[in-house]
Amino acid sequence: MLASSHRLIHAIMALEAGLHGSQPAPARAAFRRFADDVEVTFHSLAGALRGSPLERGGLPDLREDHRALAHSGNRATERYALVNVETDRIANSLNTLRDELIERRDGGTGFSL
Amino acid sequence: MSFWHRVLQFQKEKIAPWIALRNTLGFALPLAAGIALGSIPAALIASIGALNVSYSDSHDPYLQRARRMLAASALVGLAVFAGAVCGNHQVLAVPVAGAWAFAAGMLVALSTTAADLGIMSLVTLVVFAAKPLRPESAALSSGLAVGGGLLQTALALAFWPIRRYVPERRALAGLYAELARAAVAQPDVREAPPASAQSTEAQTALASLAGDYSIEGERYRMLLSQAERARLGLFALGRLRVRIAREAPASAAAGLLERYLEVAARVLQSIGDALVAPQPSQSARAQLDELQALAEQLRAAEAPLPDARLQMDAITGQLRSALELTASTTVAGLAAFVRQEVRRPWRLRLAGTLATLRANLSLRSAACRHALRLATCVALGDAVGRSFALHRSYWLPMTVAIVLKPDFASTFSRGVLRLVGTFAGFICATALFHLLPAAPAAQTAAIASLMFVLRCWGPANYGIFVTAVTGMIVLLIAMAGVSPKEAIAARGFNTAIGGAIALAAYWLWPTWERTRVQDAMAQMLDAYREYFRAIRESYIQPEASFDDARTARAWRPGGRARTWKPPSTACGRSLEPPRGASPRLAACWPVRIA
Repeated sequence: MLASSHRLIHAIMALEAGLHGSQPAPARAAFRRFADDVEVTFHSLAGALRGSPLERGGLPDLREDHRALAHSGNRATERYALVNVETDRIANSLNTLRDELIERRDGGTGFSL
Repeated sequence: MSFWHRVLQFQKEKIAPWIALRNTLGFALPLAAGIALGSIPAALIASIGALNVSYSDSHDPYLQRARRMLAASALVGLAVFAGAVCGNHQVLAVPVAGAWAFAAGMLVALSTTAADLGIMSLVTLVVFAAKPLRPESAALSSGLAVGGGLLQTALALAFWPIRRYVPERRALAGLYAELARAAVAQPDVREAPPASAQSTEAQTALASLAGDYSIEGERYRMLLSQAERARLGLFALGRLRVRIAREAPASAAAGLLERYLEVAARVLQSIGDALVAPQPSQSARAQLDELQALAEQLRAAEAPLPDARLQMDAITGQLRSALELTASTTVAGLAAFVRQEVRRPWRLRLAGTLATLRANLSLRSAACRHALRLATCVALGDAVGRSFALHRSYWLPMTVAIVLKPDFASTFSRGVLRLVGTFAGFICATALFHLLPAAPAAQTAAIASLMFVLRCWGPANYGIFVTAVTGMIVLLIAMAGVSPKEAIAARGFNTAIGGAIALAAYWLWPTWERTRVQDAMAQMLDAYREYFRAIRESYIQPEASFDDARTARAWRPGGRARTWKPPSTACGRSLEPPRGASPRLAACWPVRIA
């Protein structure tokens, strides 16, 4: 889990680095949707660690959000290209974290969700 | 970490000979003065005050050190007075010790420093409760203990006027040196991002400059700001290096990037070296020129790496600025400085502290469970000692206070080390007592030597600490006219009972580490969410600076997500959407969370 969270924060830091290193471009609507769902996922995972229920189907579909994001806007735009790559990593890391939490709960090992 | 690893680990980086030397001086001076003036009991009290306050000494910046040691001195004085006065009343002494233990246990929720101060004052309280005094005598003893603490504080701060910024420079040097190492290392996404710990340490060290608007203070803050920006740039370049090594390993761009990172690492190391030994490197200037040339070569090669060119230009500028700041005593571009740490009003700080404590007043909180366990065990130990009129029974609750930790592994390893170290200390004290001449000067020298061992190597291994402190206490008691044989028997017996009570409490009501891990992970995810939100808003509103969003949301004290330090406060359990959430997010929040 720690490795997944490290991978996640690497991707977020890369987004911050991209803020300084890429030309500004208007945010795509799909980015707003993706970012909203990322925040909901963060909150749900933190809540699950504190004892709230967590179901796979109750979380936003970040993979679908990312697919929509990757197909929106001009992919040659420098900032969009960076965001597409790093949001893919964010989606992957959060989904992995979610699966690990559910697996630990169902397996009855480690955490007591 | 395995149990035996905890027991046997020797943390070399915690060895502190200079701190040990000044602490030994602060401890031995009152003792020597007392012997010279024929007032050994008063000297012992002042030395005990100095001993307890010495645990708050460190390499931290002077302002932080001063605050902590002054707080420790005041707490020692209060504990001596409260203990000595309550000791007269058998019925009052036990609940006061229990209440003090609960408060000390709750301080775990605030910080390690606060928790250490709490335990130190609790130990002082139970020791002096064993020696009841009239209020006026208790006040005098309290004054002597405070005096010993203030002497220790004065010695720890003696070089403040001439070495004012040394701790800050040391922390910054550590950050630049780690950046140099990370620049040429292969990034590993399974590990925490590079220089996370050093960045946190530097931010903490420079937090003490919050009210310092001198040119030097500004200079160090700017150096931190440059390091943080360079850290991000190096991070991005490292990822590009991995990508290009995978896609075009033999290209000119790959070689240029590799060379750039090598040279940047040397410049960063030069800056780090110059901060601890302020001799600016002459070769660093030439290396900066090479960095500039490498960026130009990449541009001329028309390599498909616009990100890399931008990052290289930015890093070169940041390193140039950092080098100038390090070499010069004046600040260039002061007006460009935008990252002023804003000191929070004391009312807000107090409100935050009280909110943290209030949030932890729940059995779900590991801190609250620890506080209850500590209070019960200390009160029980005190009551047992008093009921059975055990000789020197204060060692019983004292052992409980020292051994009992918020987690089981620490409690168990400390319990074992406490027992083993105590018996090793007895052997050491017995040998010293029989080998040394009975002259007070020789005994003082032996006690001072043990104090040095205690403060120099004690932080590296708890067993060494206990061995030295046991030997020292037995010799101190012998100096007061009590037979070491008697003291050894009493301490051995009470230590064993105290350790048994602490371990039994854990057996009856455990807090396993994994339950604490869950809380820590949840706090970490909250901090990541704040950080992500600040970045998201900067992408959505490119005209707003990221620093504004970061300052407003993500970079609150204790919540620096990028440096992976989970907030020490208990996180809220509210299911409300976060402040600043977009309408869509706010609308779907309850559904999602349910």
